Amino acid sequence: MMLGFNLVDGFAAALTPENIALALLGCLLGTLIGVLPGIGPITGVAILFPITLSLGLEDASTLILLASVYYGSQYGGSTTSILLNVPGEASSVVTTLDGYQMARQGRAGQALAIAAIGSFIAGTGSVIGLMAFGPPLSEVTTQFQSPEKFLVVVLAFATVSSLAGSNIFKGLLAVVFGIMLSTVGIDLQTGVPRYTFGELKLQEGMDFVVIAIGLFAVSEVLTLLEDTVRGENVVFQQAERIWVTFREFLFSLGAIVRGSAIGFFIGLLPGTGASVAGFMSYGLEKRLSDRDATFGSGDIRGVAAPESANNAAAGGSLVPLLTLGIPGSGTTAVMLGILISMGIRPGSGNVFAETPELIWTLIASMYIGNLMLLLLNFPLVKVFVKILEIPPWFLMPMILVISYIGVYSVNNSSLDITIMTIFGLLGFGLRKLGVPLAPILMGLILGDDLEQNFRRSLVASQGDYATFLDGWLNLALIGLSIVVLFLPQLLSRARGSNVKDEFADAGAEV
Amino acid sequence: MSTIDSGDGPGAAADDSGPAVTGDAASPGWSDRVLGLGCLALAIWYTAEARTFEGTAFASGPVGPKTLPTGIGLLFGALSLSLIVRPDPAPRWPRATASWQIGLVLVSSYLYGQILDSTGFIVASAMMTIILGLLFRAPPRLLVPLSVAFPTVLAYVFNNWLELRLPDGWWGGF
Repeated sequence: MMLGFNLVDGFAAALTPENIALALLGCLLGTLIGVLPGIGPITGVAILFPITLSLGLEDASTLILLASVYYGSQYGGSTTSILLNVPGEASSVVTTLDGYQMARQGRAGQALAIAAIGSFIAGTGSVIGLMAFGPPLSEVTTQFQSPEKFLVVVLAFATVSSLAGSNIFKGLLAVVFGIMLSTVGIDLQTGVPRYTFGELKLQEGMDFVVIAIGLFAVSEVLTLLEDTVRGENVVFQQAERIWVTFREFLFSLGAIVRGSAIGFFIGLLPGTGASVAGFMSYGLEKRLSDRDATFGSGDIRGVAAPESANNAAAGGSLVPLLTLGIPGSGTTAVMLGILISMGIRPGSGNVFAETPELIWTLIASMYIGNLMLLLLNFPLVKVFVKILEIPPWFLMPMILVISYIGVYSVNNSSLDITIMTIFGLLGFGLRKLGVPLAPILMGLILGDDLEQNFRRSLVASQGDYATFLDGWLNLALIGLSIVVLFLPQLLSRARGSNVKDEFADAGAEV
Repeated sequence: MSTIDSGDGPGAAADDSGPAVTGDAASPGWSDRVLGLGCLALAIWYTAEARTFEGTAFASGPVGPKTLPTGIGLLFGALSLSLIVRPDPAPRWPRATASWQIGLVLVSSYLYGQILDSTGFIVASAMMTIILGLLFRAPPRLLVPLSVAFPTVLAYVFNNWLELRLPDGWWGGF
């Protein structure tokens, strides 16, 4: 039984005129970001976060705006998967298989429509699931002492490294590098400056927004510049209007429902985010219903299943995110950084009990965002498609200048612009080398938590390291970390396919 | 989007079935080894530096400000060794033209931060827009008016409607 603030109150809070307007703005901006070449969801959320702060909104409204951006950019990513054969995020890679084929046959409208409807149904299901699983799991965190909290952060790191693609060592290397960045600045307990090079402005430490914009936005501009020099460009298919017949909807309904269920439960598992969900549901649907071997050549169910699954997984992954502080993707890692900077620290306390108004408002707003996207996309698809034609020479300077505003607004410091530039080059190089960038951000965001809980544990145990192995909960967390680290590798090996290569393909934003 | 390095060369751009990291037969694993060596050097410096952090015994307890950085530095060193021992195939690096253009963007971006406070947001951003626009092959006739209009509009919006003041520079602003 649920007492106090709950989803109904969340809806009441989210449904004020101001918040509805923000959700609408967020969905539009998000779709724009998802559709535009050169900025992905991580970049979009990272650039918009400092600018959102300059609006002087309440925390709940800021979350609503950014959550809508997140949702919108996912949907925008599906649009480009279908029309351009270019997935916006790793999670929509599999949508390209049948989606782009449908577009080439002139059925882009149906593909876009079923993606929107499937996403909406899946989103609805996952909100219900979140209500069922979130609060009880969050209860568990109230039993956590410092060693458990330390190990939960370790689990988060294992999670994000395993998402990284073909080489697990590179994922770990990236996480550890992020932790190293987090140690820059004044040590809070002793006042000792660490790795500051005597620079006063480094004493406050590295800001994750500056690093995120450098690693993602600047490096994307550089990558696109290289492509331009090479003369590479993509050809897209047109969609005049989006529509789907009732028969096609019924035909896809089974795929949508199965995709939603698989997606949500995969999302629950830490470490297997939306990308795995898309692949698994596509694989299952193909095995179950591909009687005439139409999958891969434009079967509508081949769009419905993964699009429902990745949306449901995005909802499901909110459970580990909001209860344990374990993000399932790069974008949710940035969302976690934003929550932490607002003083909400999932995993360190029961956020459903401590800040219920924010959490339920966030959940409600995601649902509203879902509905809004469904309503927006049907009439506006032509506009979104037009956006694809904006030339890079117009777009890239705009992205960079807006990035400068975002970075500058953090501390009003030109040193931050230098740091952003350095991380832009770093991101460009690491991306080439197959080193994932999201784990760096995670290490930076959670590194401080890791160290504080590490030290508190050892103070409590008077320096005895065995405290981390004490009790079943700790052992379970260690075991889970190991499983999570190797799970994606095992899954792909079991399927005998090139899922890992596809992850590597989908690149740094995993 | 477009974090995807799609295919090799023009025409193959819409085909993302190939791995993003393309093998280079002439130098297998060379890039990863350089990365590994760089990381190893960073790890050694980072760990050595960590050993110099001394907290007061009273404030730090059993673990001081050096314990975690030391452990992290050692782990980073071990991971960079794994790259040296087991490197992936090398990626395709930018050719000469792209390299100097990327270099130009980075240098301009650094200078942007240096001149921002003195020239102000509008002038610095207009210069950056022109440089980047030309690199992306903008038609100059459209680029120049755009590069003035766009930062001016942004500065007006941020300074007057939002709670963020962008640097005005020596000539003043809105």
